[in-house]
Amino acid sequence: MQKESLLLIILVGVIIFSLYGLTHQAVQFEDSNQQVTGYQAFVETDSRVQIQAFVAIAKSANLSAGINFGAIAVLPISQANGTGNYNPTNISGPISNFGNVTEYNITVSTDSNSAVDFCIRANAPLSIPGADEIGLGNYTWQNSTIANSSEPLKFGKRITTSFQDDTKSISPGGSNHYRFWLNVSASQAPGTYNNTIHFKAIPLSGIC
Amino acid sequence: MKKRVYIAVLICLLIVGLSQSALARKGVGIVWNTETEIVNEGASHCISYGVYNPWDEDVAATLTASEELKPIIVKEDTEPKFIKAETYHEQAIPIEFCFKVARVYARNCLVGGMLCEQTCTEPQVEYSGNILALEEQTGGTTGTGSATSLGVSVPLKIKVACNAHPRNYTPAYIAIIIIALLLIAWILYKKQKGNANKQELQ
Repeated sequence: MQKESLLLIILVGVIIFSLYGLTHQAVQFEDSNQQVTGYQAFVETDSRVQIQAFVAIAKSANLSAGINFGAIAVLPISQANGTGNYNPTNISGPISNFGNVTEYNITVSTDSNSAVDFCIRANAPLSIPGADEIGLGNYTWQNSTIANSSEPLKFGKRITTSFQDDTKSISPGGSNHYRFWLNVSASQAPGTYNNTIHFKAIPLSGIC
Repeated sequence: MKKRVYIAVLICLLIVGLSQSALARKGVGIVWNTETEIVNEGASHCISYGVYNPWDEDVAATLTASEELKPIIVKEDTEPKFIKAETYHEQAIPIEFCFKVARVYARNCLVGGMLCEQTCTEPQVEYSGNILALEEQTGGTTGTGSATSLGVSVPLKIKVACNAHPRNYTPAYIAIIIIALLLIAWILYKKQKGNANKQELQ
């Protein structure tokens, strides 16, 4: 037998061995979920459920317009009210609420299927960009699910730049009412100070 | 008498108008179908959310992922979506997020990235964050005070699946077959050339 023929036989053998190896490898990697064929004493079917969650919230018109403390002419001032804190002409809601009710609130839509918790934070202190600022320790808030002349109660919690737990478990159709206050020291430079307050709703048991 | 009636009607209309403007609400909603997804390492996976606005004013809203999820996001539509008033959750505008998780679990490979086996003995890797539907901030205060923004945040956990498998010799077998075929071709070519030379000499 010639040397080339022997080499050819060996190479063909190597190819056959490799092809066997490939098939064996494919079997090893094959998903073990094989279908049962032949006689079966049972039948099976898939079972499936899709759970959908949806939540919508909205600010009151006054909250959309911003939390304004108006023009403060006399310093120092302690607990200056947000202009929407006590609105004597508020005619929304039940008649028992008429007058001196806060106009800052967030409502959970009835087109929701989950109750939510609320969180609140400020992006930064009230400031004149690049100039003076009023420290966040002077900015306080309070919330309540009840709105009347004494709820939410005075004078509240200090706002921070981290989200704080606010109200727990507001159901669809429910509202969270807010009041805001500002302290300004005698030495505060005149000017218009601004920042942004973020409100966030999270599904129950979430972390702010 | 008529004048009094007109004045009364005007006052009523004014009160109704004022109360309507006080009740006008602007907000945003989110529809979600999952809070935990399992993604294969090295694979892409998309999740669909919906934004809606059941309130009585049009709104622009964006959907963003929190910082924890940013490293694995490959597709995020951050353009604000205009949502007409009275768009209920059944008509929510779909927004898709796509994630791609790199290979995170160790593999034991013999040659470079080939001939690998994976044992999956490490703890499961997961990315936890939030998807936030945010109402576009509009306007601001005229005096000292704060603009306000509103959002709904839902949790999302991406768990990376590890698929344990034995060493994969497929590339080696393929390489051997190719080399063997090349060698066979070369031997046959040489043999044929040798026969041709012999015939020429005869």
